[in-house]
Amino acid sequence: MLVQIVAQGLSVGAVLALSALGLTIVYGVMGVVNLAHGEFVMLGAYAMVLLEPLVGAWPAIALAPLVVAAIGLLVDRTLIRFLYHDPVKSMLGTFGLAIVIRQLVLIVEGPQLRYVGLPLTGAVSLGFGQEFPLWRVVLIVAAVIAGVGIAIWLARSATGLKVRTTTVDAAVAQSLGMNVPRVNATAFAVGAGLAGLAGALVAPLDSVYPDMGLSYLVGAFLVVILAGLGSIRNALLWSAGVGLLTAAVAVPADDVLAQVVVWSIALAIVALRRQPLVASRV
Amino acid sequence: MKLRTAIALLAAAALAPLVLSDFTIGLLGLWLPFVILAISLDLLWGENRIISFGHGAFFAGGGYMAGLLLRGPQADATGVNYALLSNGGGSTTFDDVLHTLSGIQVAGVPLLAFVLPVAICGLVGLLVGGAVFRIGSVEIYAPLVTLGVGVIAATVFLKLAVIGGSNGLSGIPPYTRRIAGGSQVSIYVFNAAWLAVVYAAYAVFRRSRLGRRWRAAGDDPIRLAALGEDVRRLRTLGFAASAGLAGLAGALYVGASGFMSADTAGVVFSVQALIWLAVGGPGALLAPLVGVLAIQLGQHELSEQLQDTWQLLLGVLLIVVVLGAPRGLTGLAGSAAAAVQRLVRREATHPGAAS
Repeated sequence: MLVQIVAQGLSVGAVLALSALGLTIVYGVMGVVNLAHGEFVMLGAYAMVLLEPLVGAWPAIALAPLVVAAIGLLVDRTLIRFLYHDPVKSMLGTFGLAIVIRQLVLIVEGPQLRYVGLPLTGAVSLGFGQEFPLWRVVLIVAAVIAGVGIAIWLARSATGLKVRTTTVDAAVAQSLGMNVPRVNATAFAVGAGLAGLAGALVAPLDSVYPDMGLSYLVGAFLVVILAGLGSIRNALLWSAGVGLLTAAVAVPADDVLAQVVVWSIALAIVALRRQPLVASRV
Repeated sequence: MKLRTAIALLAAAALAPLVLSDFTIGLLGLWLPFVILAISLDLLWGENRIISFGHGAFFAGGGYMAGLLLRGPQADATGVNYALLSNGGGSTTFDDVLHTLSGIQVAGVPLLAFVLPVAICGLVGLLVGGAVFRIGSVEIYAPLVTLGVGVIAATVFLKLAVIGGSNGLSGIPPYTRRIAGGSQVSIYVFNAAWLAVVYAAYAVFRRSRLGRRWRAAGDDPIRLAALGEDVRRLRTLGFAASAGLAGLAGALYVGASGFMSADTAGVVFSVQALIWLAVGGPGALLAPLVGVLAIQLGQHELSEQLQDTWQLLLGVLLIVVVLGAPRGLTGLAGSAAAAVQRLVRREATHPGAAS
């Protein structure tokens, strides 16, 4: 069972990591707590549902993040840019946005559950007679690639440098001639794209419906509360930790208990932490 | 609030049953507890810049507790008590406890139906607040943690069989069933009286020294701490008080609705409560009343015809209010009144100049 817990935990953690990364980058760069982030996951899943019959599963997975990133770009230019560096305002505004996206999808696509077939069936043997679905392995690999990719992009690329500069001080970045609005829009689109990727990857494992985003938002926030907003490395580590803990309860018992236990432990960790958690930056 | 406004509002509330239909009075009786919920949120948001996405959990929790106590140990519709039938030791002890607790009555109203929700929601609020306010930037982490609390509460309530699970808790009698036969008007009067008490207490609190310290903790926590205030303790106690108030609101609500479901604990309802306040204008004394009445009336009138589009409109409204009118309807009314006053004054000093 231990092997199964670890495997399941890592795959849960992978999804958490993909959704938490986007949240944490967006907060770090533009001080926006995006409560519509779960809806971007949902949009990614719907992109998968709608594109898969047209172009096939793998191209759909590649396209879904791009579609959601494009939506993110549009949303940033029309709404999010009025909410920069005002966390409270941003939470209320983006929750309004979340309702709007959810209802639009509900009106266009209807409330029924949608399903996508697994692009990869089959399982890998974990030894001890345990098997683990191949798709979950893909999930873990994808999260690691995305996490490392984002870290390299931030550390090495010219755009990454601009993103980091804006994170430290937007005013200075602006005065050095960087196109800060463009950096912000890029960061938001990348965050939305990551959420879209998460959505496309979980779509074959889960049913897809307009309200699905909330649970991903809550999961991502759990990670962010523990890791501190704005820290990528911590977000990845805590994603794995939360995933493992969830699986450790969910595999022998059930999901509801797992959620309660994980949140209780998270609150206890937060309450007992000696140092108050100050949001460290990217 | 000026005394004149208060008297006018009380008079309007007292005259309402004479003017309005029984149906409308029934709706008002249902909505007045929402105003108390909105006040509990305003205490945090309007006065201290703390946003809670989890107050629905306290509202629902209070509602469930009061509902169980109001109903008492329940024989079902066929007159057979399932708990006794199934011979499950656990549930009969539960019924015994319920019987004892609901036995403490004043004029046929189980007293603990108010006391327990306030006490237990307040206690949970103390725990949650104690955890939240240890973390750095409160304005970011309080909403995130309360969001989690709401989701957990909704999931747990949905699984708890003693409160009806996914069917919800139904068949709850009103508080006034022994005094006034539980008519719509009696429910309305009962809830209006509670609201008047809560509103008066809130108005007094805002003017008190404690109220000023509380507001100062929101305006500049660091400076207040430098002046020797234990800001974290103050905020934790304030959060607990707000949670207890939300529990009271839930307790009053089930007396009017006769029903409580796990959805109410969820984030969607908690956000609806925030929308009331956002539309009313957080920080203004009248905002909870104005916001609840405006949104609930709109929902009542429009949600049937518009269906899914109504929620869409609510989302758009939230965005518009946040971007365009952060002080809500009361703020807009205030600036409109000020503009009219300026116009009148200019007219008085320089006749014709205003045009």
